Amino acid sequence: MAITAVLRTIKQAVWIGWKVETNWADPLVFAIYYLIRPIAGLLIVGFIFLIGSFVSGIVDPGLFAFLFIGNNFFIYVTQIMIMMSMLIHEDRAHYEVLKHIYLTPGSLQWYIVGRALNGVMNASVSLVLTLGLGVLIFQFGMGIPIPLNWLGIDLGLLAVGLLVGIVCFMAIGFILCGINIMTSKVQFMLPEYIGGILYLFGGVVFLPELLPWWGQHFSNALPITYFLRIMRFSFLHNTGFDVHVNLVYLAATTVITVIVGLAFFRVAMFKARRDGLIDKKEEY
Amino acid sequence: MSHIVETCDIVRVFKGHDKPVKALDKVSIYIDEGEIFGLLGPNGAGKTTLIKILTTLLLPTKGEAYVGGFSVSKEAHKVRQMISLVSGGETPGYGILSASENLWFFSQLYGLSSSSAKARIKQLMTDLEFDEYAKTRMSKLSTGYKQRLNLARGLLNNPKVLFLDEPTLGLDVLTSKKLRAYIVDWAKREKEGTVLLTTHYMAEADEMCDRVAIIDRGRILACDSPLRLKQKLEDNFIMKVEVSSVQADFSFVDDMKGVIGYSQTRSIQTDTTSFKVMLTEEKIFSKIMLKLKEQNLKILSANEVEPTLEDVYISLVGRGFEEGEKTTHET
Repeated sequence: MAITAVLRTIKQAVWIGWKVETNWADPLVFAIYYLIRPIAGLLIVGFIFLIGSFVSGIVDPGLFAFLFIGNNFFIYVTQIMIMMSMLIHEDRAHYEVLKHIYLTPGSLQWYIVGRALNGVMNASVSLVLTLGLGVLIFQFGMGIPIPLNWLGIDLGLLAVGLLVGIVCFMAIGFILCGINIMTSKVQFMLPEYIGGILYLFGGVVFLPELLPWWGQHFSNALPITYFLRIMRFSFLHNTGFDVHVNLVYLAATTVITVIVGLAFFRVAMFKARRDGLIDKKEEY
Repeated sequence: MSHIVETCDIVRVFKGHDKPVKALDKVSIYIDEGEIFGLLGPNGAGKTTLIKILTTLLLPTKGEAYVGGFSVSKEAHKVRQMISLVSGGETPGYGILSASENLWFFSQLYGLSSSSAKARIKQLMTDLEFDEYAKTRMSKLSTGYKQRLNLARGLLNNPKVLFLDEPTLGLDVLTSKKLRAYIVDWAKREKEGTVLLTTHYMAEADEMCDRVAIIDRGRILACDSPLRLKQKLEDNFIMKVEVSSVQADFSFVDDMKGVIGYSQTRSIQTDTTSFKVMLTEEKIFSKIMLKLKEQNLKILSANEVEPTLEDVYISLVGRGFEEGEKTTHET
């Protein structure tokens, strides 16, 4: 496929994704929903920290920063996975367009990438909101000093880490697309289950070193672990690990995930074509 | 490859609940460039399965098919560049988008430039008479206008082969007529435009198609022009009787010699049954009339009718399209 055709397909997929995301409500209702969702997530983490501090009697701002960054950047995992898990179901059963998209010369894979970029956009907006509101609520509202040097963010490292991480989460999303094309009715469960596993073992709210030995090995195999370390390093700098090593690990685990994700998706599409599942009607 | 579409002994088997189901059984057909080709058969005959294979949505279990000289199994991406599929009874598109936005989306996936996409969308909406609904959300359109939009989507890329799967399913008579006329006109205008149409409406196939293949239970039973298929019945007598009871029993013809086949249509609203029977000799009909009188049925009309494609189907299968009809074969 020519580059222009790829870009055109991605552009249309982003546009259609935005329309599907926003057209269900009037702009005010949508804006409120868009604000409430990340704020609710932020408050949950904030109150977990406050209750933990109250119980232990120790207020550790460094721990809060760990939680704050980990939880905020995990939004990329959930948003991309939810978007990619739902789109096969929506486009096949609800809008009945999947087979027609599949039959156009524009590749279905690039269309899926475009839809995933919608998840990236949503996640980025949520991230900016939660970072800003988090500081307002917790630092200025509740007096918890968050040790973030806003002017000292390593933007280069942040950009590289984010880019590689997004590619990796999209590859996981392709696995979800592959599972959804071969099955039905698991589109809601899949991102929750896989998101839950990544949340538990990826070092989102606690260090992987606190896990049992097998959990630590599993955590070390997950790209999310290295992604969050790099995100934390770009904000906090003194995280006690070698950022370059973690960057290499992130790149290596991402390459493996991309190979596995795309191969899985190709096999799933072949099986779907063999078994007549591309335009499968779902009856409830 | 001289034909634009060709299938060679296509077999397609699906996993059934109890045992495998053979949806297509050694189907071999060809379609020439510029032809409107009809695939006529009852529900479950295998029409949609064949169209899915030809449009690269489904792989055949055995055999091979070619579109534009490209293998649908091995060169699907090349096939997709020259085809389009429009299915009846479904509304592919984003209900939250307007009619023109839906067309714009697909025009971009087909790779049309912005200017040519805009011109093509405007042209199609005008031709198919729904330009006044261009800004209307698809979910607000009536079934007829949704199908016009669906057809417009299928024509966006000016396909070399247009696959139409029951395109007038569920539409009113007027909309069906307009769509049929437009498709025939499109195929004439685009000199290389080829159409493969599946339908279970006899009149649709008769009116539109240059050639028709009759399919039943996955097998092609006959393939020719509608006229020639009907001419093959010239030696037979086709009689139609209408009686004033929805419960009229015609099973006695099963045992009658000289009966090739029959079909019946019951109308609960008018409490009538319409019975069509194909005979080898005209005199057998008088025996049938006698039997009907014995049942004290009021005969509303009885006359010989010209053969239709349904009669061709009856002559081949021994029954009509409608479900539950009894089968009889001449012995």
